[in-house]
Amino acid sequence: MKRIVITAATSAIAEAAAQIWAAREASEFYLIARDKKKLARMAENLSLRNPGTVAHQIVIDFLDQRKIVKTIDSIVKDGPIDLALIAQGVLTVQSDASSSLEVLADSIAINATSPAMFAERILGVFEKQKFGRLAIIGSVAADRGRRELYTYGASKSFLETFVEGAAGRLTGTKASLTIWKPGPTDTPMMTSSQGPKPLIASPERVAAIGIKAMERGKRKVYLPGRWRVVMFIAGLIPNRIYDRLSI
Amino acid sequence: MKFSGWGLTNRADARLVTISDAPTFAKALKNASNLTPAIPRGNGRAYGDQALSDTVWSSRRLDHILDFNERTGVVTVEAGVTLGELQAIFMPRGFALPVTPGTQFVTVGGAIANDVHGKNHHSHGTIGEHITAIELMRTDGTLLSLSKLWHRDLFAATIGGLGLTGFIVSASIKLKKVAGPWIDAESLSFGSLDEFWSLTQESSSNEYTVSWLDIKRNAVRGIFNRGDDSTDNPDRPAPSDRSVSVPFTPPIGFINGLTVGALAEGYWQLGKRGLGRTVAHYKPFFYPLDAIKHWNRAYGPRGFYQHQALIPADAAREGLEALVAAVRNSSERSAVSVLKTTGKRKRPGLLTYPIEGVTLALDFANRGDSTRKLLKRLDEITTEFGGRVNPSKDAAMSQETFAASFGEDAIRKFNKQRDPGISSAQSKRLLGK
Ligand SMILES: Cc1cc2nc3c(=O)[nH]c(=O)nc-3n(C[C@H](O)[C@H](O)[C@H](O)COP(=O)(O)OP(=O)(O)OC[C@H]3O[C@@H](n4cnc5c(N)ncnc54)[C@H](O)[C@@H]3O)c2cc1C
Ligand SMILES: NC(=O)c1ccc[n+]([C@@H]2O[C@H](COP(=O)([O-])OP(=O)(O)OC[C@H]3O[C@@H](n4cnc5c(N)ncnc54)[C@H](OP(=O)(O)O)[C@@H]3O)[C@@H](O)[C@H]2O)c1
Repeated sequence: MKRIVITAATSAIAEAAAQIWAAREASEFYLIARDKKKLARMAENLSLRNPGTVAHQIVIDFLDQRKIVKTIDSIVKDGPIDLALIAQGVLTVQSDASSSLEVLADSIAINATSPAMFAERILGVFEKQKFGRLAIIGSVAADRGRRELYTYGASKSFLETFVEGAAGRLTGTKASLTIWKPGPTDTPMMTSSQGPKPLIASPERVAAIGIKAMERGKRKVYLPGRWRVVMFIAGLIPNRIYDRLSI
Repeated sequence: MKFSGWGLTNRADARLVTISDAPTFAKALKNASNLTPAIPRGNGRAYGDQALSDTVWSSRRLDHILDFNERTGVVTVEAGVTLGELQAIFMPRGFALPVTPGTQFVTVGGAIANDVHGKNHHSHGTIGEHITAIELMRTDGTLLSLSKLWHRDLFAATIGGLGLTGFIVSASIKLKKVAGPWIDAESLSFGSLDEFWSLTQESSSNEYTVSWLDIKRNAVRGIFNRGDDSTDNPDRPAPSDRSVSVPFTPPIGFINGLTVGALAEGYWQLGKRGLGRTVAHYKPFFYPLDAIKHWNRAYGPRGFYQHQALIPADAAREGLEALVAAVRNSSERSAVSVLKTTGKRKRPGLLTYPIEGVTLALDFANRGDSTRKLLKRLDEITTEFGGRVNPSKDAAMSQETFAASFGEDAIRKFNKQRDPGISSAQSKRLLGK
């Protein structure tokens, strides 16, 4: 039985990933989230749809360092971690972050600090195990700062540099670290932001491509792949024009 | 975004709001300063303008199975779970939906809102008979738990409530026990309505019956299907889920005046080849049309209408003859016609459609006025015989037809339970608002 750890398990993309894994084979899930009710709904659904699935529900504060250490330690006490996905994120509208430093700090904390803390502990486990696959969800927004979203984008780009370096720790083992870079995806995060929704993908599709990439041990993947091209072209647009665009 | 019903006749622009959980939805409703008229929407399988309004609340992300009690067979699911998903998940565990319509691609919310019936109405009634509880979000942001014990009137109004009493968040359904996914099925042909009636009588002990009817210029013929849940579970592979699809709407429909005769003939030949007894998998037996995805597009950009009439038992033979005659005397031809009988059952919803009798469902390519003229004629015949027109198929009936179908009294009671923040294009047409 595979042992799978998912943080922000209630996020739409994480939930889609869990469903793909559970449908494949009976697995043991350690589902970590902040909202007890939402987590119970997600976990029950996963095991009711997939007989043989075991889903442990863990509710913690995603910024509490001691709790994070304790949680990962207690999971590995009983066995190894085969797969892990770190999915928390909050789409902070820049004007909110600009008018409130608390919003700004919270945004960086949940988009960058918290994923890094979970990742560090899991990487430590992988180094010892010498196997395991970890993915962290970044974003295409990391590729270029945008007026409306730069705190979010900068936090996500922190994750990229983090992954770039941390993946090096795993050379010589069978373990891997991947950053998923979704474009706009049809999840509550997008629904809550107003405005046009161009090129929107389903969370099922994003998760399916992401899982393939992480299982191949790729370090970085755009979800879906066309975003790589889009962001490459965006990179060629000069600042004074880019600032006026709203992609 | 543009939306339409399955018939593709009524298209309208609407703002899409995807509901992902009850607390967030409640908060949004409470904080909203002014609500535009909205309507819940499931999988868009209602034919006409039922799930159209200024705002459309989609349930497609409410797709969690919340609870299952093996002992009682009661499953609690969110409204966006489809009936097909439930069948696929629970059939291997020996449970099945007691009632299922002719397509598996409908949501639980949609199935309740039209209190759907299947091929076993005389033995299992409508889906509403098997709903033990509903969680309903009203547009003031309150979440109510409805059942036969609490909020009884609202419970009865919500079953078959056409989406107008609130947004169904989740529901509990009592599944029935089955041995496996197989049906002992038999197909017979008939060459007249008299033969249809004698087959019906002879099949009163079968759980499932449904017939395909071909209305020709001066005769009718058809295939009568009957069956029962198989008591064995032979270890056979299920048919593959591969299906063909009509990938886009062709500029001119494949199904038109020129082809409809050939299609009916083809269907007849296919049906004749399948005569006799078989052990059928539940999917082709319950959902034969699901094998072709988006088959509605085959009618072309103008779409098609379905008309379903139900004639009460005491006038069934006469009423059926009259409906068939009206089709024959028109310039329209029905590509697919389905005949079913309905039994004497409790009616769990205030506007539950089936009463004891016979129902005839006819599909007509939309050719404009001439098609609508026939629909109107069929409405008249139906109500003259004391029957009713099915709102889940409807795109064109009048307020009068609706009132004659369901009765002023039931409609008055229903209106009292409506949610003032909800209306659809259909509710404006049938109920005035
Ligand atoms: C091929 C085919 C075969 C069919 N066979 C049958 C049959 O045998 N018997 C039968 O009875 N019907 C049959 N139908 C009709 C179909 O079962 C109904 O129209 C059903 O309501 C469609 O469900 P949906 O999820 O697609 O809902 P939609 O079409 O999206 O919506 C239908 C209605 O349900 C309401 N609704 C949807 N979700 C909710 C919610 N969460 N809360 C409150 N209201 C909601 C909508 O407001 C609307 O009024 C058939 C339809 C097709 C296309
Ligand atoms: N949707 C997109 O267009 C898109 C594009 C690029 C990248 N992404 C990234 O994809 C990941 C998953 O997001 P999603 O699209 O699936 O949207 P989502 O469903 O809204 O998921 C966001 C998740 O983050 C969790 N979260 C937010 N703040 C938290 C906090 N303070 N403590 C603990 N958990 C917190 C949320 O918890 P609750 O469930 O309790 O709310 C939720 O599970 C995110 O990292 C996001 O940045 C999304």
